Amino acid sequence: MSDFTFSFDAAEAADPRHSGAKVARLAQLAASGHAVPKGFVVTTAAFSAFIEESPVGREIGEIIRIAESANAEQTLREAATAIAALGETVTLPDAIAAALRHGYEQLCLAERRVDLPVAVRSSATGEDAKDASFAGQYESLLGMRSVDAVAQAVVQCWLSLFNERALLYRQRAGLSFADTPMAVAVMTLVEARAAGVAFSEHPVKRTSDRVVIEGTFGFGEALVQGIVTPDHAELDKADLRILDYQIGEKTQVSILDAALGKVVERPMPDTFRTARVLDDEELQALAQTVRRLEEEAGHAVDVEWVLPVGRQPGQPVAVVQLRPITGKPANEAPSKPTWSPGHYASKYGVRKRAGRSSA
Amino acid sequence: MPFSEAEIIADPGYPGWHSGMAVGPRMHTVARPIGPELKDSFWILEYRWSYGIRPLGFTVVDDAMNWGLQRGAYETHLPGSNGQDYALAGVHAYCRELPQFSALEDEAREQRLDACLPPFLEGFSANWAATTRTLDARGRTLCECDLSGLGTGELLEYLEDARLYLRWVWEVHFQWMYPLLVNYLGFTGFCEELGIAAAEVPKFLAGNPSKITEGDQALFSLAAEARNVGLESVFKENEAGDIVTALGKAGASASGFQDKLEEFLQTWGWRTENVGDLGIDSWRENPTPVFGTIRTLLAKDSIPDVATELQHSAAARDEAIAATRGRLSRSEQVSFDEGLQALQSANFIWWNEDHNHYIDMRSTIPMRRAALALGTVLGCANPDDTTFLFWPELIRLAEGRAKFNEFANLIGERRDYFKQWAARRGEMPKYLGPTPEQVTDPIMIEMDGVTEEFLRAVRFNQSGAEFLTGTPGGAGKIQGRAKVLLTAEGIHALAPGDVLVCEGTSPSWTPAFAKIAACVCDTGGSLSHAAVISREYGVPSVLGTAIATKLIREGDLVEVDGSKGEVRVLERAA
Repeated sequence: MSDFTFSFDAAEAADPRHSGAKVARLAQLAASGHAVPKGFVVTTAAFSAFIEESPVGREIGEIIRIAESANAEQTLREAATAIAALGETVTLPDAIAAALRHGYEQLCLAERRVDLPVAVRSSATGEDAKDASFAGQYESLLGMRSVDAVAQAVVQCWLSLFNERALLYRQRAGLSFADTPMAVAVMTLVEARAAGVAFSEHPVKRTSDRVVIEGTFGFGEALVQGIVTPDHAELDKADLRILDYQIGEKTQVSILDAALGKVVERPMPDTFRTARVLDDEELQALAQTVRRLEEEAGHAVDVEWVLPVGRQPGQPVAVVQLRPITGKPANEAPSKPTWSPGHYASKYGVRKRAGRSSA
Repeated sequence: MPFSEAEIIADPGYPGWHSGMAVGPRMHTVARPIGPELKDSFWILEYRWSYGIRPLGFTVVDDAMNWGLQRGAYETHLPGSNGQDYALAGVHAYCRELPQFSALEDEAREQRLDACLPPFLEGFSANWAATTRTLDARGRTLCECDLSGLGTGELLEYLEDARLYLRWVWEVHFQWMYPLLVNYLGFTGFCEELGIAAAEVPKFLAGNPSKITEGDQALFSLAAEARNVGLESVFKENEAGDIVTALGKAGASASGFQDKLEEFLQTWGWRTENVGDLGIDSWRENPTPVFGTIRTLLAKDSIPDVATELQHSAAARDEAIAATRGRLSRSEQVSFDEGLQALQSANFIWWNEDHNHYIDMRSTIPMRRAALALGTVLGCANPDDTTFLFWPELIRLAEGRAKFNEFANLIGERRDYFKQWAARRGEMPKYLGPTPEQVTDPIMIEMDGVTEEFLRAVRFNQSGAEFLTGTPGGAGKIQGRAKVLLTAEGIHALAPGDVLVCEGTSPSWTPAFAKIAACVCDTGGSLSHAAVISREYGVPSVLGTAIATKLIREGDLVEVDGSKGEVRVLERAA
């Protein structure tokens, strides 16, 4: 066994130095009994070996070192273009290819499916564990169902570390790519009946008495990219009552295109556009999961979830990503309306006009 | 042709009027003919006094409105507003806001309001009950006092008592209305912070029996009794004014109906059809309006039952509260419940009905009785000649410092003046002076509906337009033929299914709501009489449209959407 891959079950997978923040959190969730897809991580060691030992990797390393020392936006942009061109020619070092093959085959076996479709997701390191502001910068690919396709997807994830936005971001943050090696998760693709995000506090009002859930039919990509208006629900965090459910106009849907072997966006069928996505049991199962995740994390969380095809009431919902809610420090609790006649009468009952008008 | 502003400024007012007649108690202003100050402010034609104001009625304008509102704003420590100012164009009243401009004073008022409001609210139930006992006792003593055989000296004392009573009830009126209103508005804002729509709030406070619903029930029972004892045809075949005689001929006393009527009038008869009108008797003295309402009720297949209506609104209220609470988290429910409990125990919507029985509908009865009695003993040509005197003139006459003869010609001229201006009511401009973007007085904004949207509608008044918007009152959408009424006198001529279009409504309009399909008003906010009554009766209504009576013509086919606050003219009358 190399240290190029670890199953999510392995203790090493929960170490962000090997697995990056995202996979480490998923591995921790799996360890504490949450429904997390099975999978393995292609470690930061594999990434480093690729950079140091393969011809293309070394070339990339060289371009980046020059670009980073030049410390100019234009140079970084040119570097990003050059590396993207190199991506076409990558062949993996044998040891990594072997580890990947082994990892995928073991995952297929664990799921007892020969051509198991998987999701391949980037999991960067070197970010503060609670800083999600860099979320979504790196590649995520869904629906690969062969070793070769998985290998290609892993390379794409690695190379996304060198896309223009990522390079510029790290430049501004004063980070070198050497500080932020990339891990990649290869996990069972949960076929999504519905998917979305959920927050353990209101993402706008920052009040903590409600769980906010947004979801749409199919995979969550269209929602995460912001190209559909999802259904929006709010539940009382204390007793899981459904306080609000607004049906969104869902014009696009992310579905798995079997022929292409990946998830694509299609127009939502008319019958589904304004259909309600989540029933009461599903909402409560999601809210319950989010509440537990927040308790375990000890801070407010933002969750990406999937309701697997064929899920029955009472069965768990799948968590595919967990992030802390960032932005405002938690100690600045928002003021909740508290009844006080004088205060509200002055605020809403009267209208003042300071200063005599010139008329 | 409508009156021009120049014509109004130039008019000197009633013959013989001079500033010495303006003796009313004074906070900021007193009633007077509008002069050049017309150009300074935005004035609104007062819909409650559409029949015109007599010289003695200046006391009502002063005591009820100028004194009442200005004193009420002062006693409430109201930031931003010193109440309202009433003045007259001819015999028609216009009002304007009296803003408070000093930021320092506003700050001090805000602190005092903050300190005074909570104890006022806590004591509301007990104090209002005690106040109504005094209101009722004082009112009844004066109303029931037998004036026959009294000399001028005694009648003068009675007149002065009647005036003190008038002034006092209106002090009470606004000293309760302002704090209840600002508290209600505060709660509405509080609800909006909790994500509850403002339009939901009145629903939480509906369905409580008031003195007005109690009186309605008594009247409805009387109508049912008329039907039971077979007097229905008497009401159907005679005009309201002829019914007294017709009842006698039909043997109403034998059937016991006369006793029931007498009993009803003893309890509920000390009220007038209009608010503050010295020109009309109380029901007790002339029950024609009662017969008109009974006639209207008997024209329907079934007479509404107030208790059932109240049960329905109470059920709708409880449903609305449950639905709202269902959308709140546990911790939000705790805050909401606390606020709602406070609002329900100092219930503005309920009070806004209840107080009419004690104040609005009764306040001028003693003064009219005094004036008529004095007219008789002083040998006036007509008993109501005295209502064509200004207060200082009437006092001089009663004190024996002047003789009726000295006023005889003047009274004749004033009657002509009154008649001319009253007849041209429809030509009075609804609004005078420059239109501001907003006003500050909460009663003007919320009760009369002078919102920013209303003011926009006034600024962009497009006659001939076929669409207007306003404050949503009763929910629902319905079509019907427009019936444009400028006074409540016409309500008995309304047919079921008519869309009532008027300047605004007061309790005298209430019987109309039992048969109209919808209601559209120039004035009125979500708390106005029309809004509250249309919700109770389930009639779609749109208030505060600013220009409905100008835009909609008699017989037009209109569509009223009381949920959205929209009115559309679908088809013009031929």
